[in-house]
Amino acid sequence: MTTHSHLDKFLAGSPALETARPYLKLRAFSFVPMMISFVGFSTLRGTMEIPLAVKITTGTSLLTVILDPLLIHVLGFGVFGSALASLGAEYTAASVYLKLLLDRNLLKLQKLTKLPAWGSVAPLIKGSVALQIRSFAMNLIQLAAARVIQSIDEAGVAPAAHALALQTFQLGGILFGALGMATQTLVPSTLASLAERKETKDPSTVSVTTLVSRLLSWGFFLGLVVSMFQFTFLPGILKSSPLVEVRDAARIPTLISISMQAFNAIVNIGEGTMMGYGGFEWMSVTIVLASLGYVTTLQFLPQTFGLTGVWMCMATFTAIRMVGSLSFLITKLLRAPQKISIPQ
Amino acid sequence: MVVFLIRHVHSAESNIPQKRMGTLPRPSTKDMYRPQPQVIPIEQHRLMAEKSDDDSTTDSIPSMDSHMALEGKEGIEEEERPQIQLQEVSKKSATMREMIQRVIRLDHVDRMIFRTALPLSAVFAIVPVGMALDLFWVNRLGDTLAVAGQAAANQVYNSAFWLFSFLPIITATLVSKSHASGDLEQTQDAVCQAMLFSLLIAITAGMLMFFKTSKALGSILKGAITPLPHESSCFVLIFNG
Repeated sequence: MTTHSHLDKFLAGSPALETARPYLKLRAFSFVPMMISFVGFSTLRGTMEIPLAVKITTGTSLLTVILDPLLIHVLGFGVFGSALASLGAEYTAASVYLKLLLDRNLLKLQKLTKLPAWGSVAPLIKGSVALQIRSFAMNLIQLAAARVIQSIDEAGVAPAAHALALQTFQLGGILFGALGMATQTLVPSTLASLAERKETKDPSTVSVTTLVSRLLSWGFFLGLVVSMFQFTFLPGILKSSPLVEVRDAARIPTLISISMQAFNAIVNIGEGTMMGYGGFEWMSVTIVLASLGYVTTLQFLPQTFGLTGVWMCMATFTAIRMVGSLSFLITKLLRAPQKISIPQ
Repeated sequence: MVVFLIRHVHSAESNIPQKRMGTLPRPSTKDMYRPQPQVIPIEQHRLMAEKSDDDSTTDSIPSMDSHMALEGKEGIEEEERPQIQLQEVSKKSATMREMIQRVIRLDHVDRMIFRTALPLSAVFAIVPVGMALDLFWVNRLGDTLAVAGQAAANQVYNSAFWLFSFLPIITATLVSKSHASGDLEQTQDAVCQAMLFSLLIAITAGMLMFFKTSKALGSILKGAITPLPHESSCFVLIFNG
């Protein structure tokens, strides 16, 4: 390829831009309702009305599911129909949350001008810094990966194939995300009752080691089951794309994503334990190291292996996180299991 | 390594003195007939793991029976071979069954885990399932560039959104504290302050995303920083690309 054609290509930009630009402009309108829903969901979490929040989220997701085929195919908006469907669902969710907050007298319009006192939010902001570092690192690497994937080919086959593999990974990871979140809840509740147990000298306890080991066992076992299940249905998964070239490009990345499920479970449970245990620094260091590993491998693996190379980088990222999680578990739980115990 | 850790903590668990287990339910008659996990001291496990880097050595510790079966293999008659092979298969399946039973105990710890995790998995499922269905319908258009463009735009949107993921943690904690103490005034303050902060962020980020779309997409797509003519002021562009 000549220098001239390189320049032409650069000026013309990625062909995916034609879709991405207007799509993002539409999505920009959903930032406000999404944030309102975010606060609404958090408020219901704080008032322990999680089932109600889940019902609202389920309802609005169902609305998207109904609107998607209608707007994309029936009304012929194409891919923008998807953005419009999301927009509709997000405005509905925000309206429902606003009504709920107003009805419960939790939201007062005249109080909307009052800024929070620094003293009340400072400890929470400090506490969430580690989580923010994690979130920032995760988003940064996803952006870096997306940039590499979008540049693999001009026809958009690699991004479409990546979307398919990522979807398989995320759907398989639902249970492990939940196990990770359960670990985040169970470990601190266990640790919180440690002092009480010490005071009452209650012998009816099960060690945190037992709890975490059981979670790990379940995670690894279910990871294998999910992998086998997804592997069995791999042809069906690939058929969700009608294009043969996308299916071909997605085959090996999807296989890598499937084989990572058991390790993903260990990572989720390990990080859940870190968070529950208050090991935020350890987690942040692990994530930063894993991100560095990801970004470094991203420099050369995709050049040789294409989209499969990106998924190899993802495997490296997961492996480093797993090593970090296991090191934490070995250091904190195996070396001093007697120090941590919980009432049944 | 993972298998080692799981076995390691399992053995630690098996070594917990009975008095520490306190009111653990007595094993049922059915449980008594279950194969019990082999209790291996932690130090022994550590030594075994150190001896070999291969995970399989810690995974399958040969029993006395299997040694005997292997020793007997050398001088066996041709017709006895299928029977021995059958025995080996049944031994393998017994080991597999034992491993599964080691995980699936369904006692109070397992019940506690699943009581917490199953409702959460429903929450976790909503977004990925919705996204999968969305991708399915967009895939049906048969246009890879549409999928690529949507993926790029969604990545930028989600990254911008998740930069503020600390907000629910702070809001939920503040609301939870004030709600638990029955202080409506304080709960209102927490909700209103979070709402104000969120709206400020959302309006700024939304406007930046609308007017500086090209710059936002420039983080992913090459050539995106070259703005289209009248991009920032043209609503028609939404449907014209």
